[in-house]
Amino acid sequence: MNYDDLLTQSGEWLRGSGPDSDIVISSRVRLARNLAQYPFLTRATDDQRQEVHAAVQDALDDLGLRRNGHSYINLVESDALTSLFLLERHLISRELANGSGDRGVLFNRSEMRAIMVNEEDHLRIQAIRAGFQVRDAFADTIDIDDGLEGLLHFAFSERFGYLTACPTNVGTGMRASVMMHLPALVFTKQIDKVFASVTKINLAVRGFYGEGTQASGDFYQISNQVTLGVSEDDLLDLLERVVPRIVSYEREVREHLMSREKVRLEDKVWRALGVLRSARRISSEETMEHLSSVRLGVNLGLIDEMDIGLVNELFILTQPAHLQTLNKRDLDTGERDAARAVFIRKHLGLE
Amino acid sequence: MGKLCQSCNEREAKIHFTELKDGKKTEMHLCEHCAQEKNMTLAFPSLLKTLVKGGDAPASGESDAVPSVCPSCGLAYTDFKAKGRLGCPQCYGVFAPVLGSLLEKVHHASSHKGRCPPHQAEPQAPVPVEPVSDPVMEDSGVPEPAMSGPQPETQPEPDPIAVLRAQLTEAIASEEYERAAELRDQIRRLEEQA
Repeated sequence: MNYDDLLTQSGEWLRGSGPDSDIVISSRVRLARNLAQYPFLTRATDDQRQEVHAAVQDALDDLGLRRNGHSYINLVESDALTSLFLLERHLISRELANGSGDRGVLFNRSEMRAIMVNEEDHLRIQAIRAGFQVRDAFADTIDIDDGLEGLLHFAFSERFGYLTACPTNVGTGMRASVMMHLPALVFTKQIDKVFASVTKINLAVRGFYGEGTQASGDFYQISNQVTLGVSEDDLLDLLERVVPRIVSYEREVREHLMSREKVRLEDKVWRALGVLRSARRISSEETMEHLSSVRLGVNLGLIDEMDIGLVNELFILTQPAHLQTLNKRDLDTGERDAARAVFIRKHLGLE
Repeated sequence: MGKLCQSCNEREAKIHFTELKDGKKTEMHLCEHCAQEKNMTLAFPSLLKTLVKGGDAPASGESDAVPSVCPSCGLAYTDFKAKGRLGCPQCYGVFAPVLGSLLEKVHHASSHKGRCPPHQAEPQAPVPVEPVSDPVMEDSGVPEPAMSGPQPETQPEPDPIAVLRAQLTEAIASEEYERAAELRDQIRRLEEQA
């Protein structure tokens, strides 16, 4: 795999554009699908897994999805570092990274599309957009879904909808999620209140890397909890009603901080930038924490002349597998922390 | 050091297993290495979970009409309970009676509303899948309950005695002897009535 392009930039969805991009980093929709004539992967033999993998490859080929800047990576043929690298870029899930047997991911150059093969389900069709654009992301997944449906026979029942390995995904098989940056709500300890009300209306809150991950860098993913008994449109509606309210709440608190506690806020933002520009060793957690403050500072106009896209990208490019790929060798924790500090100074530094 | 592994006689036996074949109980004591070679380790986590949960076989109250094993992919219902993953599309039809209440809990709904595949306007015919033989199935060595292949969407209505026998098989496989005894008595009573 040629990493050169991937190393110098991240997916287009991270460039800091799109509606409400000061608070909404990205919108993602994924559809879970399975081929009707095969068991789910937990019960599939190695041969069946291979057959599913091959059938999906053929279908992707027929749709022209393996040409024109699309890359397919079979994780069986890749090392652990590659898996981690793709995971850090949000192109694959932890489940796919840690899995075994024929499995992989197809993605396009902008990384706005990623199709995982043989994850928990045979197919996970995913589209990402910058900012708050869940409908756009959804439309893209449906395009791919319709194309594949014409070539593959998906497991579906009138009663249960699209059949998935885990009953928590059955029905629409759809998960729509919105990645939000909520530093002011965290700073003022309002965030728990927001989550409490959000979870009451069947939305789930997850961390930066999805299910089971800690929130870091004040990033939170809000997604639909339920997939059965509600249409795709209803699910998108729900997000479109709730996300703007969280966005305005975060904005209100930011304004409040700017008018009442500007010095405290400025102090936090500039100290964070100071650490990032000066550190000689810095951990991933500390980086995320300070980048979050810098991002807030840029969005509030406290820091001039810094590209928000660059700040967004640094969240990904400073992750362990990215640093090791860039340095072309395995690095232990101490070496990574040093390499990370060098990388950050190069991009944010005064030198 | 405890008992030696019965297979290699070298390492300490860490896995203790009771096998029931033709009504005879055989005890096996193996080290992790040999157990793995005999493909037996996989069965244990689920077995453990079954015991920890106090025997979560299709319990009374849930439904008596649920087969214990999906005839299409061989997934045991207990295994689904332990791991939360179904084995194949047909599992939804096979386990429909119990899945209904589970889905109600998770989704607050039990039927689909939303997109349908354009090519599947009418209910799809079930696609036959070769049963997958699984060497680590807990009830290996015991005949599977007689069951006509249930179709997705249709609720199978097997003979109640067959259902109880299937549960008995599972209870024995997971060493729940008290429950097994209860089931045996129930089967006897039903047989006498018939």
